[in-house]
Amino acid sequence: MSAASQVVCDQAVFTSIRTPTGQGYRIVAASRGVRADEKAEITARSPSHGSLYESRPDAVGLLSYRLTSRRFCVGYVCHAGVEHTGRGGQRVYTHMALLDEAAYRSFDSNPGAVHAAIGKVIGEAGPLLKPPPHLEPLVLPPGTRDLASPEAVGWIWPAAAMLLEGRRLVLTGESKPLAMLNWIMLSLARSLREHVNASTDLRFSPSRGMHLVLIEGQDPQLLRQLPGSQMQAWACDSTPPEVPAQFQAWFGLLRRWHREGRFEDIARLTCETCADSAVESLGRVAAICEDADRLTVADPEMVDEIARRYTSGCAEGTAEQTLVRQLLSRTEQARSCLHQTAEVS
Amino acid sequence: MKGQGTTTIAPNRCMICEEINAAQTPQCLSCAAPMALVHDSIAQDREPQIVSVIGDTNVGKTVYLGFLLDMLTHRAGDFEAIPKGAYSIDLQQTVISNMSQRMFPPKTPMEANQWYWAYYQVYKHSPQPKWVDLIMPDIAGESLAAEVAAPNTFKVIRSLLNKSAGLMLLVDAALAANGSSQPDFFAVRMLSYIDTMYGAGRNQRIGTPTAILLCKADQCPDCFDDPRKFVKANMNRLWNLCESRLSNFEFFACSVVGSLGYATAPQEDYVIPVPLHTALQGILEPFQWVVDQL
Repeated sequence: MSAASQVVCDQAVFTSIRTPTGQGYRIVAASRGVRADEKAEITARSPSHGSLYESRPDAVGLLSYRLTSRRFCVGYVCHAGVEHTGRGGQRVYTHMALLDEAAYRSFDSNPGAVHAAIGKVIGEAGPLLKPPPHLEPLVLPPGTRDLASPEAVGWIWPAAAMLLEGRRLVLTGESKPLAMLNWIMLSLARSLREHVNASTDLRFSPSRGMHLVLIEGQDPQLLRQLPGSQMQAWACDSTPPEVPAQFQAWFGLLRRWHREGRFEDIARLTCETCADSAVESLGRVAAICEDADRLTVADPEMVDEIARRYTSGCAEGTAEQTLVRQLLSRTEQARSCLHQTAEVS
Repeated sequence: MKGQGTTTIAPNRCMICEEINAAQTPQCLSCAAPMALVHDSIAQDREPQIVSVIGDTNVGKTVYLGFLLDMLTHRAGDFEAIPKGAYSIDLQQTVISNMSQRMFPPKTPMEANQWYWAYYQVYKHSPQPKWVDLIMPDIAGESLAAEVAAPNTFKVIRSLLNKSAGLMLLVDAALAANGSSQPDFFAVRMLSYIDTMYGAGRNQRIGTPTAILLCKADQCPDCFDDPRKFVKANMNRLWNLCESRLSNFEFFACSVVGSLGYATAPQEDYVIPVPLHTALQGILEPFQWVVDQL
């Protein structure tokens, strides 16, 4: 993550306030760079009254999707007082950042990181309920990696695998939906995250066009709405399905690293080394990493075997070449250690 | 020129947007209209007609439609109405339940999959007995406003209005009587959108029967005496547009609330309107007029 610098981007606010020109849920303010077609698309997809799944005043949700203009829209959704017509329920407030590809990648293409940054801005300035006619561009603080695990850890890898297969999911019952989203994203190569539209703690609505919907509780209406749609509903308190064979190597590696607490290694692998890796290469990448890990406990014959396997120049793509270079460097270190050990004994 | 006024019935084809859906889909994947409309209409030997209730946010569409459906179910006036499908009862139940607790019903969400849809078989006894199958969706005012501002933002609305055999345009008479131009501007925008959608030439007018309801007329009772005069005086833009672009329209005054209270708290900046009791006036007459035109 490019943690050193702030990110400047366009912003828009979608909520319900009364102004001289109108009232009700609409885009009440936006920076000048937000285009008319983007505004229409944002209006069609944004959450309106009663959309936050939790009714408590401090409930927070996330909405993330790629606009037709190719920019990424990440929304921080929260309650902002009572809706002004007084017909019950809290006012739903959505503050959106619109990022181009470079800006989104500075957050590792992880909507959770952008969401956290918007949350910091709102936390300091509060929701904009009396906005000026035009907003200045939004300055987001540098992103940080949040590596807190969700409750239903076992669902991270099957959910990510289903997304890689092109399926669309609704996951219910996870008490930390933002953490679950974070980890599902972290287990995908950075470029693959950019194809996932996701929301947390928002009521399901087909008009939002989500690939991944995370809801903290159980929604009885959900099962009536999903038949015939492309969405599949899964409850996190049920046994997750097996990861498909073509992804077992990749997610098996990440699952083992997660169990061993190697969270930074996972983040570095998916956000940096394999940032632009295609789905087809993930199995090969996993095999290289597994072999690299074996070096720590390998005897001299195994070290030689592993080195032979990778000196023939079979690596494809930048990520694999980088990992192979690192592995070969470690084989030398391993040989050196084993030699010293042999001399001492 | 008028809207199609007819709907195409085919299994698994959405009645509103005509997209094909998989069997067992409860709501159209394209526009979120309930597929039960198709299934229920196939059993009848009449094609249903759509009467769209449109208006700005907070004008009272949900309350009006809920009370209208409840009155029809009670066989008010010359009418007898049979709901088709349990989903058709949801709206009137929500409205009546809330109003009996002295609360207005919750705001209608913009998401189309959360709108109420009502499908009723309506029988009018006189002057000539007539059966009409009507579909009346409760559309969020903000969605209407967004569609008018940027067409095709909510395609379901365009499809609905294009297929409507009748329109009921609600305007806030109380706001207009207080000097606000907001109701006038919204109504003009709405009719201009419909005019553009029908694509009528300069010498053609929109023939779809359009009832313009002056809502919240309890706060400006002179509405009831002469609705046309009220509109001419307080919403002159709307009056002029109706005269020039509509060939079949009428104005009606209506009211639901008998008396209104206001609740607030010292530390809050909002006021909650409290309907202390209901006193329905002019609810049935606009509907009667629209049905007579069909």
